[in-house]
Amino acid sequence: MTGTLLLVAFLFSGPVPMAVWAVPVLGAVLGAGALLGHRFNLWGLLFRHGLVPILRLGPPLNLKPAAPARFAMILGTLFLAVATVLLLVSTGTGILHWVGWALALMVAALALLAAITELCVGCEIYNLVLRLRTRRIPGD
Amino acid sequence: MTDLMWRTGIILAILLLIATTWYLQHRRRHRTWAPRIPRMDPTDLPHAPDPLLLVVFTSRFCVACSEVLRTASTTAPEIPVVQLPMHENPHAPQRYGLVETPTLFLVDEQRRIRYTALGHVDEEELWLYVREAWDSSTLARTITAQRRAQ
Repeated sequence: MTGTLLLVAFLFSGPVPMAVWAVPVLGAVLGAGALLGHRFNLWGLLFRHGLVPILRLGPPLNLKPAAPARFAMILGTLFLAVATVLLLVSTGTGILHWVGWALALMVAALALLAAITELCVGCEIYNLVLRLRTRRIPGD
Repeated sequence: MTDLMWRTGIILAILLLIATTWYLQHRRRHRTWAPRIPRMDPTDLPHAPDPLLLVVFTSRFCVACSEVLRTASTTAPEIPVVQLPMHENPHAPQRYGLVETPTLFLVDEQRRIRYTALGHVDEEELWLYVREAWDSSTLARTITAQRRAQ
């Protein structure tokens, strides 16, 4: 959802400059899920209380650790926060404006990538950092 | 109008990139690969499995390797799991034709490679092959014991 909404906001931010406010709003939604946990993730709440009962979906087949996903969400929140500052400071044109949108589009692309291919770049970064910090790996 | 067009172009480029990534990942998961030799070399496996063994080839900074090791341990807890890091076994890629890490082998008591998995390990598929190899080795031992008794 985050990725799709960011792309839509970018598409219409030309004719509708107010669409730029979608960036901080989506950043706040992402940040709430990252800081408070997946139970407070807006999209997760909509899915659990909206789609699950309507489509009568069962429990997930396998669960993954939450820490890498939350780290990825924190990264996304930071990127969107910086993008928000750049977009609000700029006057709708100029290098700061496009750098801000580039950061927002990066978050959108990675969010969509994670949703469609299950390839979470933030999670991979988390695991890599963990592996580099924990130098003593059995057998390595 | 021009502004909307190039914004649409950027969005389409992002979607194309995602679609390409999905396709490459899909192709990678479903490609067929077989080891260069049908049995593991005794120098890599000094002690023959009794009766089965899971061998995982890993490398440094391989994020998926720890996940595959965990999956192998939990899917078949009765089967020992042996990790062979690439930097300690530099001949392994050439010997077995390894193309990526992690690579998982299911090895029987004759060091035959009964099942292989590249990168991602399908737990259900692994369990089926472990079960089949286990049953056939148990049956072989029973027949051998009966013949010796006669």
